[in-house]
Amino acid sequence: MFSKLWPEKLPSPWRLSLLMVLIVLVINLMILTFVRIAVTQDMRSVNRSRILDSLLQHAALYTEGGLPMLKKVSKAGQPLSRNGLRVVGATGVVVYEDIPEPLRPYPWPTQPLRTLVGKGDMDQQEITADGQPFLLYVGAIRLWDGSTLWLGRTDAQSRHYLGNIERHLWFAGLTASLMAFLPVMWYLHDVLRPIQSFIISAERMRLPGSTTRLRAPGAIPELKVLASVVNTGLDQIQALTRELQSTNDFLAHELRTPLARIRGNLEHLHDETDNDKAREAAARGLEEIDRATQLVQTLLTIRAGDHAALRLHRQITSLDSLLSNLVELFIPAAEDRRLVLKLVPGLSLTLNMDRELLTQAVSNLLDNALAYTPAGGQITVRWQGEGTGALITVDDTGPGLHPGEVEVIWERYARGTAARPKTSGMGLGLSLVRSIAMAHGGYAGAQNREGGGSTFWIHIPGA
Amino acid sequence: MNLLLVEDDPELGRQVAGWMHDAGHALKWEKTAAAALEVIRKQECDAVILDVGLPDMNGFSLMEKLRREGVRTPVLFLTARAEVSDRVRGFSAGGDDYLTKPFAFEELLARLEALHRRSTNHVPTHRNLGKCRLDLMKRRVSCGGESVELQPREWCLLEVLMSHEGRVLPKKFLLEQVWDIHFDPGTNVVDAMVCRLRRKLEMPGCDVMIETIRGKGYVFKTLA
Repeated sequence: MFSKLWPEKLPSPWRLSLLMVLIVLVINLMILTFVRIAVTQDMRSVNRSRILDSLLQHAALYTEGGLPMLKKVSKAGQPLSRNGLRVVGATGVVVYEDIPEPLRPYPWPTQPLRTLVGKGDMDQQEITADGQPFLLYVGAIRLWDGSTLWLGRTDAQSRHYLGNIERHLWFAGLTASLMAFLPVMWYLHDVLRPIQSFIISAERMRLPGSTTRLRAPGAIPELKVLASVVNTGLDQIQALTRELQSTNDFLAHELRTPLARIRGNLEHLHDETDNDKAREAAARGLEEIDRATQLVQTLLTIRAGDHAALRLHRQITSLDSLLSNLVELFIPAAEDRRLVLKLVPGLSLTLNMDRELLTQAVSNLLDNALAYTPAGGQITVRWQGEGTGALITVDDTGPGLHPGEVEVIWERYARGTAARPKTSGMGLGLSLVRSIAMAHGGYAGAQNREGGGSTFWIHIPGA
Repeated sequence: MNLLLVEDDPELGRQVAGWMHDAGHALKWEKTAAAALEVIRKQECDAVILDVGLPDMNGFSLMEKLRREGVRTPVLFLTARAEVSDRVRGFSAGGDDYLTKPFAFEELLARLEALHRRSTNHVPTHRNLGKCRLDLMKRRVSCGGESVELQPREWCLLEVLMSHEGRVLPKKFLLEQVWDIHFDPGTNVVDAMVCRLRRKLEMPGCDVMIETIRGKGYVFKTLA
């Protein structure tokens, strides 16, 4: 529901903080608005009743001592009362006026109100003036001699009170907001930190043979449950992987032993027979057995590699020497096909990897490049460092890949349309390459090169 | 050579025993690790062919036990376990060589002879092949006044072929010995290299021949 509020990559602590700030701000503003409405209403009625009180007191003074008494008291109380006073005679002439400076800009009424008919009648008005921040409350009372007494005061004092209340409310609100960040702290510690440790563990799990499990000490119960559920799943996967490995071992053993028996007998036949046709047949049989043996091994390796069940024999290996040896091995065969095979050396690199499997992967790419590149073409092997790992590429000047086949060719038993009938193979070469790369925690892929030909690459991350 | 075969598969055991007899070697065949241990302890054999999957004990464990006892007899593992980790395990247990099933008989023989040669320290320094003289220490071939330039790998290939003269060596064996590669790279890399070596040696009139035997491999022969 909040997903559209922020950019996709904003970390969750920021999201939570922003949300908290927004909520606290809205709550504070709402409290402030309601308090202001309530206090303003109260202040208004207080102001009005104070005006009425003062009017009655002043009317009493007038009744008792007439205008001189009123003047005397008004003068004495002036510095404190901040009241404005005006007495208008029955004829409408201002008899006495004592209006302090701040109240002068307001348009004081001069005419007695029509409602003031009898002695002691009172009325009130609220007056505003341009450029004045305050409201002037004015009250009038009909005196015993028919004249009118006006008394006014601004709401400056009540505004001052309101300001005070608002300041305190802001202070209280901000303190509460700081406390609202305690959940953020809790979230960072009990939710986010375990999740981050999950991420680190999960990254380690990508590596084949990893026995890492999710650990969530001090996390919230839900995360602990998640960790235990995931760990149970991982245990099951590991058990399956072990089963796959032992099935592979069993299969390899059960196929290799009978193949060895057959091979032995064929060899015997080949060596002992005087019949050329029989010898030829035996030779073909021997070739087929060797091919079948290789095929079984390749299939088992792919199967194990796909399911992270491949037992890697990692060792610190120099990529430079591995690739230059391999290129050197293929050069005579490339020259026979009138192809130029060259190695473009990159920076010296050593990797912790299964030397033999990686040799086999690159050799499969070279085998493909030699098979599909027409005479006169060029095959280039390169490598470059990628973080702590390496990227190995094999470029050729062959027909390139059909756009729809860039991914298909990596599937088992798939062969590209460029495969000519005379090229042998079961279409397992590339899936073996990818399986080996994946067993190392990397990947393999291909793309067409600008200007023709294709590039096949193997990425091996640092281990 | 006096050989000991430790193998529980009757058919394979019968085959190996027959071959070795034909090749002129004496062979004793045991089907269990316990029986093999007795024979080896008596030090009656020059080399041992040891299967890993034995009924009473794992071949690797037997090997470790032997080496701990100080037995130095060369041992070749003959097993269906083809993974690198198994091979490494075999060598670290103290094995001297490792051959996976299915195998070519002559490869087994070549490996056993090499093991035996190594243990008896028989290393020739030079060899004459017709008009040509091979200096095995300096890795040089000279024919009359001319010398033939051989790349390091070509020399290595020649050495392997020559040291198993007359034996048909499978492609797999050459890849392993010369390039340390334990799989078939598909492309006819070995064929191409053998052709090149053949051209280089035949030109100056060395009396040698590297013959290709279909289905089996390559054999080095001297014509003289």
